[in-house]
Amino acid sequence: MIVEALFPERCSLYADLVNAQYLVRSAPDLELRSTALGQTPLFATERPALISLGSMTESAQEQVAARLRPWRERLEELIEAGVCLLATGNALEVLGARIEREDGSGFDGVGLFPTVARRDLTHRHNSMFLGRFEDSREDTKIVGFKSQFSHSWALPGAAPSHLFEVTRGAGLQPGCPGEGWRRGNFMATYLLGPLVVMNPGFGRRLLALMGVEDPHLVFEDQIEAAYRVRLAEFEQPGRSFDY
Amino acid sequence: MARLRFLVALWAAKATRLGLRLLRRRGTQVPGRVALKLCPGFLAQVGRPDRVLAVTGTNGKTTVCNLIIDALQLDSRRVLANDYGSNTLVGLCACLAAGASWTGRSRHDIAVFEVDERSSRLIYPHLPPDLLVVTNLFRDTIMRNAHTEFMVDFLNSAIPAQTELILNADDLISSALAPANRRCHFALGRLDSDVTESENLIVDITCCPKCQTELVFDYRRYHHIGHAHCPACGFASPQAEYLGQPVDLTGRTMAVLEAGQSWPYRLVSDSLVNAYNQMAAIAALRRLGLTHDRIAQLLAQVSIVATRFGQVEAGGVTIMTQLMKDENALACSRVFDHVRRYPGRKVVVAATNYFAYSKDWSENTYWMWCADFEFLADPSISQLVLWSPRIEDVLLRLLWAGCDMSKVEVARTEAEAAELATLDPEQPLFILYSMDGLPFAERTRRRLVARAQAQAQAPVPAEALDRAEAATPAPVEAVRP
Repeated sequence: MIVEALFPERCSLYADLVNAQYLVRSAPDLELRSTALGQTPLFATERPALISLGSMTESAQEQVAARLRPWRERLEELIEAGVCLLATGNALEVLGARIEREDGSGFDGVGLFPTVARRDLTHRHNSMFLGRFEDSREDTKIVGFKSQFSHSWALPGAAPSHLFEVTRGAGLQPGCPGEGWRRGNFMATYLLGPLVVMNPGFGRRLLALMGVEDPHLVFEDQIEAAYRVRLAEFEQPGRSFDY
Repeated sequence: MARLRFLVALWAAKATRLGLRLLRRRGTQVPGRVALKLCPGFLAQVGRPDRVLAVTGTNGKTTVCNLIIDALQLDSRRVLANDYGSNTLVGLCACLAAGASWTGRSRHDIAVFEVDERSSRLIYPHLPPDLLVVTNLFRDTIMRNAHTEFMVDFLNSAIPAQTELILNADDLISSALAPANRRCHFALGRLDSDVTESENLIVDITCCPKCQTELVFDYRRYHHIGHAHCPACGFASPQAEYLGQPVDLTGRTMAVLEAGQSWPYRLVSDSLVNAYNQMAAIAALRRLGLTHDRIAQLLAQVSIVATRFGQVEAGGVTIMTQLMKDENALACSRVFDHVRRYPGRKVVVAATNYFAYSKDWSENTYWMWCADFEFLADPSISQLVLWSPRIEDVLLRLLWAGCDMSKVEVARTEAEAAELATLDPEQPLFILYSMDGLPFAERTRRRLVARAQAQAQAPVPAEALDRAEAATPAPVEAVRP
């Protein structure tokens, strides 16, 4: 089974690539393959177990969106086929309908999610996040961090389909009860960086969705210990979530 | 009226500074805040020295500033400089207020200011520097600086057209700043340790900024520092007017080439990072008109500021302290690499992560997965003693890095960190500390010095002799809290 890391030379600003690496190291059947921005994506002809895409610069967002837009139909097929995708940080925005700059100009995203991102380079949003990941088999508390210049909104009329339920912190935009977006097993979140490393329960569920039997994470005792400490901190009522 | 307002602000700032000094308070920012509150245009009105030199960049700006300041003061110049840490708008205002006469005139020949990159837009329009040294641009703390493209755009919008730039030719990112400005470059020539493939997790530029083709690194020093070219469009690292070559880090010597001539220098430290810092200082001092002979003479008398890099000998043990600026993954990687490359086996006591964060919120530890903790797994590090508010994250990261965990010891208290460390005259000991870990480093160093001195006076235990005779020291059991 293949895990395809899309454009890691441009899209792993905050160690986002570690998510794919950690999953691959946790399951011997998985193999990591990287696709550079100038190459044809592997998913064009194959069906990876997971596609990963991480945080990138604003100029890279434009290049990545342009690179992926021609593959929208194929990506729709993969969603229908139950293939997993994990997008972290502002990679979420690239999969949405549009990214708008402060002056009202903008560019189209891949169009897989009915979301629009609005960018404000003069204000960086930094916060902690506590939420829940619920699907048919799992109810997991999620911890994570956000650091971003933009927020996203669902397009008018679009039914919310968030990845996480917000317990504390900002959702898709501050005040939104849901965080990220999910369509089938295509999952995108503003939580950046090593999300899987911070959330072992989510990591195991992702492995299961990818088709890994009896999923376990490498260094499981230690990853759980780190998670327990962080979760306890995040659940303390006095913790400040914005900084 | 505007003049009166300025004078009132100046006097208030001076009075505030005097009051703070009488109270024995440091308060480097407070007089600046007072001045700006009373006169928002204070920076534009206060007298500036004949020449203003600013130093900015992700890493090394404090060290470069200190080298330049020390050299100029030894050269009997009247230098106005902002104190450590006050590199923002209010800090500079405080510094200029302190340095001005009661009528607001400057009393100095030259100002040497460390400027925080994010403060550039607030400072440069009102106080355009004659010379601006940019040490380098790397990925820095996520919360303020986002990424290097953002910082390049930010600096380009702030650098005045008349400012001459002194840039690092080995840094493809900062060397391309403000392309219309007058500039010169410094660099270090080929080193035996150069590689072509990256050993680092962070590489901030991989593609040609002109045509997006993958760059070819002719040689690479660390991260994106090195010499690269684009095979498609011919874009390449710029040529350096001031080139350090050859560089002997172990022997702490360097020759500097300029216009075909060479001058010998003593290096202020044995680290590659500080060789770059020294080259930046040399280039700046040359642009200020000093000769190489004079610069070499002056720099031979200065040292790196002890709060960031210090070394003591106690009971035959070399103990070194080094700031690792966690949250800045690249700075940590540079420190880890320096420790790894330090000759022979060594012991490391590391206080990682921000201690203050653990009280009110939670540190974003993404940086630990960008920093090269793999270097701490190096077999030359015989013992790694950890003291951290995020110890479980650190242990996970070390496991991921392939570290032999039998050499790792976890201190449950700060005092225990000093107790657990092995003191062996054959092995230098590094104390690495985070941005708010200086008190820890100082206390730990004192404890270790006392232990080393006591150990040197006490009879050598038999087991220590056995250990010294062994080819490799016995593995140390990991201790968990």
